[in-house]
Amino acid sequence: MSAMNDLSLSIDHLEGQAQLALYVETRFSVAAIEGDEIGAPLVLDLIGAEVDGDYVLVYQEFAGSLPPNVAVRNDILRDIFPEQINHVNIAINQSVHSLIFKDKDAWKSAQLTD
Amino acid sequence: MRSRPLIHVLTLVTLLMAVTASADAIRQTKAPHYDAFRQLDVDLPTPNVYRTASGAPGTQYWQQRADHQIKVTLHEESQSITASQTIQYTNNSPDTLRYIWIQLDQNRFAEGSRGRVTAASSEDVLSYGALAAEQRHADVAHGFSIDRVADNRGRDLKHTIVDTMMRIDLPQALRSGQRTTFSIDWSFNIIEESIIGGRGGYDHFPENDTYIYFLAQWFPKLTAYTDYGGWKHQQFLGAGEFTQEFGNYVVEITVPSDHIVSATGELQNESAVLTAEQRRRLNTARSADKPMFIVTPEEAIENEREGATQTKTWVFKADNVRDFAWSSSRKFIWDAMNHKQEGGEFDNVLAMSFYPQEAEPIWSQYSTHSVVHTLEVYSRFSFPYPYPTAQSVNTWKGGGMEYPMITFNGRRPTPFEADEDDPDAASKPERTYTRSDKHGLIGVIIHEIGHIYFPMTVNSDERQWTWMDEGINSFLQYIAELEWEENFHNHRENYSILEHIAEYMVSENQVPIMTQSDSILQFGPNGYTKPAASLVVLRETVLGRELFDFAFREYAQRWRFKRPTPSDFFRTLEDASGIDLDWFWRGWYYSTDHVDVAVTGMREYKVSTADPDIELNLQKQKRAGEVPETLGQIRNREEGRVMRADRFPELNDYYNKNDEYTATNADRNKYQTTLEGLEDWERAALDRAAVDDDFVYFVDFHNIGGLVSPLPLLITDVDGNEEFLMIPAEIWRRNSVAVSKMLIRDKAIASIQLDPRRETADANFSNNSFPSRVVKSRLELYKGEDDTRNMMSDMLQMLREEKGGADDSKAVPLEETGN
Repeated sequence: MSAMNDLSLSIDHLEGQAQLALYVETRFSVAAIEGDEIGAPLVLDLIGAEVDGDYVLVYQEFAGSLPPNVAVRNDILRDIFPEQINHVNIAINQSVHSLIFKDKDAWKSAQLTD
Repeated sequence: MRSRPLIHVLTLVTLLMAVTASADAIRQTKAPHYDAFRQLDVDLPTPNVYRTASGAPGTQYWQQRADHQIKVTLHEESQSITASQTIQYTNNSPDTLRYIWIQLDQNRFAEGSRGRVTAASSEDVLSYGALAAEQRHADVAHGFSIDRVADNRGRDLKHTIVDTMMRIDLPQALRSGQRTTFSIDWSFNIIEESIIGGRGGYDHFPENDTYIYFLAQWFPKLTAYTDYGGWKHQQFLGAGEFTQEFGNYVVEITVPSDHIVSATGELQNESAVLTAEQRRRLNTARSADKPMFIVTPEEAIENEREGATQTKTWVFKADNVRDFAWSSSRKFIWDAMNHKQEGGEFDNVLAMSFYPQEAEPIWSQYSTHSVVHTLEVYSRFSFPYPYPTAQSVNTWKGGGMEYPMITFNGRRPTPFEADEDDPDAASKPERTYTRSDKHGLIGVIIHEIGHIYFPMTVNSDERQWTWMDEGINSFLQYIAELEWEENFHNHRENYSILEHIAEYMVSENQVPIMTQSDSILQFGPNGYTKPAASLVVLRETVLGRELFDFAFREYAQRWRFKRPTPSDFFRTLEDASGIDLDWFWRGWYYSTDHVDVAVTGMREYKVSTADPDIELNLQKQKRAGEVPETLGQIRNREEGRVMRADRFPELNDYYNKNDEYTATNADRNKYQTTLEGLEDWERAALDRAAVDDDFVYFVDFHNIGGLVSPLPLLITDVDGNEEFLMIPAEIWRRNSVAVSKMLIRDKAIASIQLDPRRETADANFSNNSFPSRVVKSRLELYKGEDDTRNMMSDMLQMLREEKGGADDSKAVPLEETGN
């Protein structure tokens, strides 16, 4: 019963949402690809998180223009649920590029042009 | 099953999807034209005597029948069960069967099972959960131990186990209309559900060393034999659920004498297992209009402190069910109330809930009411609830699972301990709960009880098609939630099930809804939300409530206690609504297109009278309003400069008196000729237009997402009057990419907004208005809420300082061995 009064465990409370946002921050990264190399992850500004019904939305921003070729990594919940499949949609103007992260997937590359 | 955990973390999002070439017999080989309205005839199975072209069961529809009698004993000390059972199998098919297949669902957990061996692993990451599961599998043997298979005279029957299936070879072939009886003795070790993961097992409460047992997929069961797929013996891998036969069940469950048992069906021997007081309370509950305790919270707490050395046997009988499940514990609080209904097999249905004290206070307040609410709403959409009991059992912390007459549901509120410094501490309950606990509990119970209609009664093939039970049920769950209370789930303003599904539907690498269950990539959005969203669009926008509700009820009633396939659903909804829906099924179920329609332009016209005296003058006025006078000319006039033509009057001629907008006799003659060339009715129309003096508009729409959609329009005129216009999807029938619509209005249109009520699942609202208007993204909206944002930013800062940058990975630390 160590979890008494632990609002950080509840997604309905600000603290729980902030905890989740911080968790996502450590497990979702975007990095520039220079040549064949994946650079250091870009520093994304964590704006916050909110709950909408069954959904949790976590907002991160990058100030400035993104490099044309990036690598994305999404490890969210995959450390806890081995069968978790993560889906990332990258929207550029009128087109969407999707990446799926499952099993042994780590970094995946995406072109940020139409 | 409701997937667990219900956490969808969304990241960035938006549009576009290319139409992929299909392998149809019909191929468009010249232009890149896509016929979004092509009929599905060639793709759907050929109608036959079992299933008609209108989507109904055919004249010779048949299904098998399997009646089960089971005697089972729960061994608490070894966490195992042993049983002996008799199955009577009736061959109603026109075929002769030389062998029969039995489902052994527990074998999914056995060493070497196809499900376990084929589970792919994450990138060299070992979670604590996976490690604990491996350790448990190493310590305890799971899966069935089949001790004996014998015919009704006790002679052994040859049987072959193939993973989660078992073939029994019949000494004599079973002909059409014949019946055979055989028996199986078996046992297995029950899984600890929170460790191994499954749909049944036991839940251990370490605080006071107590247990709840909940048994599902727990007995050898007849595999379905069907007209459309023969034996449905696709192996049980975990995701694809169940394909089942109906039958009658008598199950005798022997458990410790202080347990309370909840099970599919009706209790047959109350006097042997309940106290006189419990029986008296149960009788009161049978006519109660609100939940009454049969076992009170205080009694349950007292009960779980003791143990028992004696046993009791609870006997349950269930008729015409496709499965059987049960739960047993000395922890159970038990309440019940009556649900009264008309026109069905049962005028009174006993709604019941079973839960431990750890699930309070929300369970006694909401569970049984949620059961009855579900019966009220779902029956309106389908048929009266077809069974005598409906039960909700708290068997785990989260998630839910459905069986005939009984459901296993999660949600236990967060424990709460009064803060000594809090002046209101004394008045606070021992346990509190959050809004999502409350709505989550009501939602999961509606969902699981709803499954007793779909697929427990409308018996679709779950292993093949997840959407037929999960999608249809999620749609009705959404309807029932909206009817529980306004603003259920505290969604954002304008929330509907359509908003988030668009974010899934724009993605590139998704699969169509018509995908076999085990191959679905994103199970929740694909099997639950997208089909549910499609039915919301179909009901509220494409067909309207009256046509949809009639057609949907027709589907439910046609296939009640029968086995529908997707084509039966598609065909019935068309057949009963009178609306061609092939484009809808093709777009939503057979493709990965999404809805994104843009308003790309609008042009305004007036009908010309063709009379040069009128029209040229109008043109002059129009030009005067559109183009400013030459600046040099204005300044010359202001300076008082006198023009040469004014100084020399002889320079003035016809053209100085008449500008280019003056009608000439040639113009007038041409006009007369034109009028004479018109038929009388054409002349009348032109004269009428001159009187009406209407505006004519051409509005352009571009289908960016590919999925053809109705066009709900909000038209606002220059005076601010609003008009709502619904254009059905057939506007796209000759061109599914770009169309224009003509509108004639007596007042000038100021703006047009497409889908103002957000009812089409449009993925992008920034291109839905003309003139275009800015639509804020979710992120922008969130950033605009200053208070929320500031509080969040302080909280993030505080937590960051607390953590000090520590890695909070929940993975087991691993070290490379160097090998």
